[in-house]
Amino acid sequence: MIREKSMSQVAKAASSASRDAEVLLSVRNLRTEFVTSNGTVAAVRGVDFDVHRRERVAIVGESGSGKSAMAMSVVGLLQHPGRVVGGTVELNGRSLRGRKDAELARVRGKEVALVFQDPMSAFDPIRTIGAQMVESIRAHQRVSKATARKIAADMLGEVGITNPAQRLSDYPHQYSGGMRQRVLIAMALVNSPDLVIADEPTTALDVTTQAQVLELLDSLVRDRGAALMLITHNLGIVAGYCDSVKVMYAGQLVEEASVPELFGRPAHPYSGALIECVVRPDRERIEVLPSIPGSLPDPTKPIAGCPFEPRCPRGAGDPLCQSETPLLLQIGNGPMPHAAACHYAEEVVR
Amino acid sequence: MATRLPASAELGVTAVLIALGSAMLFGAFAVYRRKRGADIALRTASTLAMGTPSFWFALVMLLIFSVQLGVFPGPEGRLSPTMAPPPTWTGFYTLDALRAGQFLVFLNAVWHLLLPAAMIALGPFAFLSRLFRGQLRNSAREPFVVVSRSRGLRRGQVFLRHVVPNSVLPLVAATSLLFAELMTGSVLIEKVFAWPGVGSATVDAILAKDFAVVQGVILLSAALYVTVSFLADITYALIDPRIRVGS
Repeated sequence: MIREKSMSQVAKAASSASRDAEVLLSVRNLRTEFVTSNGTVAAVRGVDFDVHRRERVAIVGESGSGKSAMAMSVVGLLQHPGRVVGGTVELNGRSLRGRKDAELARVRGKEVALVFQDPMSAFDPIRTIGAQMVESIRAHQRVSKATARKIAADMLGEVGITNPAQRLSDYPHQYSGGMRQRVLIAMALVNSPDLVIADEPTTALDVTTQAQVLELLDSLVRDRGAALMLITHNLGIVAGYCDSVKVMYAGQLVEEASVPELFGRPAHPYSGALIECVVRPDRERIEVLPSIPGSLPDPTKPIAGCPFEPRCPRGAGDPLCQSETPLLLQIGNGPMPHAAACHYAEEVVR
Repeated sequence: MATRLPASAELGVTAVLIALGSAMLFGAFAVYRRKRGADIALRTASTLAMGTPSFWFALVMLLIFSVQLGVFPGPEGRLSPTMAPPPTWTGFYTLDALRAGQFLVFLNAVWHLLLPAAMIALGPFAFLSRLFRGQLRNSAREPFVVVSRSRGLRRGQVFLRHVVPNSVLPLVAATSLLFAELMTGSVLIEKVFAWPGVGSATVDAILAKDFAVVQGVILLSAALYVTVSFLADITYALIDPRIRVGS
């Protein structure tokens, strides 16, 4: 009961702030589990959020916080032994839950596309890049192979591959890591999806290439009027490429805010700690890199109280934090929606 | 030897085709359907097939299908005694009969081939189907499978176009070795079915202390192993671009 009330409050706040923006993706109370020999791992524990058309959202959280599991649940590609156990997912107003594989296949790549983390293993090693691109194009567009090849070459050129028509005949192992990530982006965007989910798209790349790839992804997404859901554990890249941020911890959203709001006035102690951990060259030299002590709670056990309580600088040992799970509630009356799941959010935000 | 080698080879080729074909079919089915029952059935069948002595099983099958039911011929060699062999071209009765347009001879030759070939195929089938099943399961877990599906390919499409092609490589290696082995004949099965092949010739030669023949058979099988391995290596490069050398 309490949970539903908070959901409607958040939803109302979000819609009033962006009345003109149409909701593209709507996720409600999404829950995902992995059944393992050590017990059932609750990877996503009831997540609610909306992504609007052309919005660029970052999902931030440390490893194991459920970001990727949530993304894969949205598109129905969660791998065994993971499964979605509850909640709704609506894209373009149509539900994606409980649909047949063939129906979902028409949506994947066309309405929602994914850019994956590891460009080394994302391609079939024994088929040419061209064959794999043509296959993707023809999965959604009724064009001849020759036409699809032309579209593929144009797209490769757009992501900065030189001699694109020739390179179509090359195999994945003939491309460098950075080039492969570009090809992966090209393949994701070739059918002009409405939403691009990028799951740690630059983690496998070196730092100099990371910026180029993000720049490329950003410009392609803007050109095509797509929305972007950028999943990352690196808050540093969020500021430059996203409009709003959702912070995830232990399978739950703990804070939602616009980028300036989150960096300027974090309302959840976890978000504050994450921001502290961003290495900033303009600050004075420090001997020890900042980190958050402790680790994520055991995902096989139900969480009593606030999941961040044992690691929290504000609430560790606090009886309220230990007993009651804080809800994601709107804070303040600012022009931008800002919600946090912390009993002391109003205090922390100051 | 000129008639014995083709006789064994024809039997061997048929056996390999049966083993490979059914192994791929069953392996793919068990993995694709993800049904526990299908998987357990396949593994049980292959364990039994691996553990059963094929010559004994061949005798049992002869008893059932030839003596009792009469659907397959008895141990009478490559053709019915009333049937004349087709004019020699390759030495494979099936191919020669087709070339000569003798359709009845072709059918008769196939009819005589099936049971002994199936018996020889038993062990290789068990081995190949397990190998293929394992490979398919590994390939199905590769990240590119999820990536392909995220681009809008259906599960079946990804399975046929990406998972299967990425799983056949070890099958080529295993099949090539089996091939070399089976070309020079299976001693016991040839004896059981009175097949006039290299295997039974070798047994006769050893018993007659005719060592020239034994040496010939050994040389022949060595040559076959080398040739078949070479062909397998070429097939590798055709399947997997990463193995290709040079520019």
